[in-house]
Parts: sequence; C-alpha cells; structure tokens
Amino acid sequence: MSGGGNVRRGLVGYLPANGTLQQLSPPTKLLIFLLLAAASSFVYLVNLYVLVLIFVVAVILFSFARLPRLWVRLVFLAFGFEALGTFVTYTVIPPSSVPSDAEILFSFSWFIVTDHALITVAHVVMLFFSMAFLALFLIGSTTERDIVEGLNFFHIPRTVGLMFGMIFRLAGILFTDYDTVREAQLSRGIDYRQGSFVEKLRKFFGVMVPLIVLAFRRAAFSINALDSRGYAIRNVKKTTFHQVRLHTLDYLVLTPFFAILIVSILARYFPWSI
Amino acid sequence: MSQTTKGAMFGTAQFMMIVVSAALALVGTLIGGLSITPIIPYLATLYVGVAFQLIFGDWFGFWGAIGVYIGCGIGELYLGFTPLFAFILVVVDFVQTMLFAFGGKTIKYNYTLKTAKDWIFHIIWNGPIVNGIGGIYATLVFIYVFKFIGPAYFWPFFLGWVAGNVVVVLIIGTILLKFLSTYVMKTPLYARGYFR
Repeated sequence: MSGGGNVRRGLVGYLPANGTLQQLSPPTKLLIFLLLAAASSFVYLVNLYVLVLIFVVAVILFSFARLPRLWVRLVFLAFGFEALGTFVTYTVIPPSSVPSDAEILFSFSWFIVTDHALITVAHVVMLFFSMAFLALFLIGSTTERDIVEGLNFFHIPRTVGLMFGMIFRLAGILFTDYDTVREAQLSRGIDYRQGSFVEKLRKFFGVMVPLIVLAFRRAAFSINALDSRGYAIRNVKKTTFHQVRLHTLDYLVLTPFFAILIVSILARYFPWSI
Repeated sequence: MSQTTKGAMFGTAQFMMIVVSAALALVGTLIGGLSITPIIPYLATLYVGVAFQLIFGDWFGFWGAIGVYIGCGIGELYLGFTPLFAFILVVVDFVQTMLFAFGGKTIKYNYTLKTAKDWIFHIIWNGPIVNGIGGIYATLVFIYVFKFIGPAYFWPFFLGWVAGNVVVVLIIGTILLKFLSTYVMKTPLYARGYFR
C-alpha cells in the first residue's frame, strides 16, 4: 500500500497522502504527463502561445502536488542557469553567424540580439520550465505502485512495469542511503567543504563506493527473493490483485489535456487554424 | 533451477542488472544535472553518469547499456526534456555504454587494470575515442535537432563535452573500475554472455 495517515512514500521521500491528485487513478496521472509532454513537443519552435499555456497548466499541476518549496528553488536555479546559457549562445556570436532573415534589435561588438534569437530562447525556456514542473508533478503524485499499475493498464508487459517500479524504488532508496552514508561520514569528523581537490575527491569516493556496494547488495537480495518465490521473468501472463479502472472523475480530468494536445497538433500542422 | 544461471538469456540476474544500472544512472544524471553551469549550457561540470556508463558497460555488457538508456532517459525527464527529446538524447548514453562494453570484449582487458596494456586501452579507448564519438552525436542533436544551443557554439560544446567526460571517466571511472570490479565479479550480477 502507499502508506496510511497523512503521508505516504513517493518516488523521492515522503509526501502528503490526502491531496487532490491522489484521488486520480495511476493511468490518469501518467496520461496527464504524457499528453502535455507530447503537446509541448508538437508546439516547440512552432507556437509560443500554446507553449506558454502548457507552462501555466504545468505550474498549476505542480501546485496541486504540494511538493516542498525547495524543489521550486532548485528548478529556478538549475533552469535559470540553462536559460541564461542558451541566451548567451544565441546572442554572443560573431556577426557572420547572424541568420540573413533575422532582424537585429540590439548589437554591441559580438553581443547581437536578434528577433530570431529572442523567440528561440523563449521557446527553449518555456519548454524546459514546463517539463520540469510536469516531472515534479509526476514525482509528487505517484508511487512505485502507481507506475507499475499505470503501465499495466496500458498493457505494457508486466515485467517491464515491475522493472520501472523497481528502478524508481531503488533510486529513492539510493537517495536515502546517500544521506545515511554521508551522515555516517560526518559523524566521523569528515568535513566535505574543506580540503584540496584531491581530498574532496577522496571524500566523494567515501560516499560513492558504499552507495554502489549497498545498491549491489540490495540487488543480490532481490534476485534471491524473486528466484525463491518462483517469479517468472519471461513468457508468463500474470493476473493482478488490484484492477485499475478509469472513473468519471478521471475522464473529466483528462478531457482538457486531450484538448490541449489537439490544439497543439493543429498549431503544428494547420497553423492557420489557431 | 534458478533463472540466474542461464548465461546471456534474460532472467532475474539480467533483470536486476538493468534495474541497478538504471537506478544508479538516474541518480548520476540528476547529480550531473545539478552541476550544470552557464559557461557552456547543458554541459555538466561533473557528469558522474558517464563513469557509471563505463562500469556498467564493462560489468553488465548489453544489459548495462539497456539500464543506462532507461535510467538516463528518466533522469533527463526530470531535467526538463520531453520524453521524445530525452530518448533521442540518451541514445548517446546507450552507444557510449555499448562502446565501453564492446571495447572491453574485443581487447579483453583486465578491469582491475593490472598491466600496461590494460591502462593504455583504458586511457585511449575509454577516454577520448568513446567520448569523442558520443560528443559528435550529442553536439549535433543539441544544436541542429533540439536547437538548445546556437550553431556558433559547435566546437566549444563538443570540446566541453569530450573534456568533461574524459576527466570523469579517467578519474572517477578508473577508481570505481579498479576497486569495485573484484567485488562485483563475485556477485550474481556480473554479466555472462552478451559482451563478456
């Protein structure tokens, strides 16, 4: 089970259990992510307005996931850097690299701002922020079991579903292990902020090596557990205890996301219609 | 009979090889993503993932490459890529892992790097050659398919990609390979068949 009370174990750490998104079935949550991701792929570098719409929807979804504010700060820090970098690569260029059809809005030596550059950078930034918030929405609203059941609903082979569930599970455990190993090293008096590059590298291996060994040990246990239970990996059709079905609420929730996908396809292939 | 003893056929051991390599590649990709700086965008200053590609290629062969493809693909989703873009980009991670594995299979070098031949192969093949091939693909994809980077930045991006990866492979990858290979070979996870 996902866990009782007000918290449950998500893909990374513990998350609120009684949120709005938790009432949706697993395939619905996966579909929301996939529909918006597909929509953003269709309109990227084609229609900025629809991309902005997807970004706004992604932010709303993210707010429903009720993740810690730290995640928002991380997103803006990481993607702010990338946005700045993209802007630099499109504007700090030799004059001979300016596309012939671009209109120069501002120039100073090799710093040349064109309309083409601004639009491209806006597309890149919107795409990255939308997808980052969507990914965080998925993290904040799903558990490993949701992933397995969601993939099973779409008739993905059971083994593949189990594989994805175990990957997320192990990755989540690795983050916990990382904290455990790091705290163990700190309790031995190791200061990660001080020392030369070589010393920092040694400290890094002091965390990395136990982490990998722990992962391998867990994997070896899992092999034994699967084998001892006679779990067949190949060529076996399995039934499931939990049958996942879509309910009226799921269809109602999915409708606007299908609409966004359709608008995106129209924007790409029939731009005159939008 | 246990499914773990069937060599290259897909059993629980191969299943777990994919799971472990994908989980660690996912963590490596996320750590790498957090070390991106605006100096050259999309290039991590310490992309630990490539060190994992090396060890999983050598230890798990084909199954490690599949795991790396899945793990890096999921990781790129968290880093702002659409599923389509993520799975186009991580072809480079799959190819690099396969090249690490294939090189190890062809030369049959010792993972614990005992002889001069082992070191020479490791430094030349696992360093600039594999990462150079991967760098060409990644640069072309970033500039001409995704258009995340202006075309004027082909060489800085390519050289930054290769240099960053070579440093990680030759420092982190070497140490992981040298000191963990003996342990891994004793576990049921070590690949038999499909490149080793």
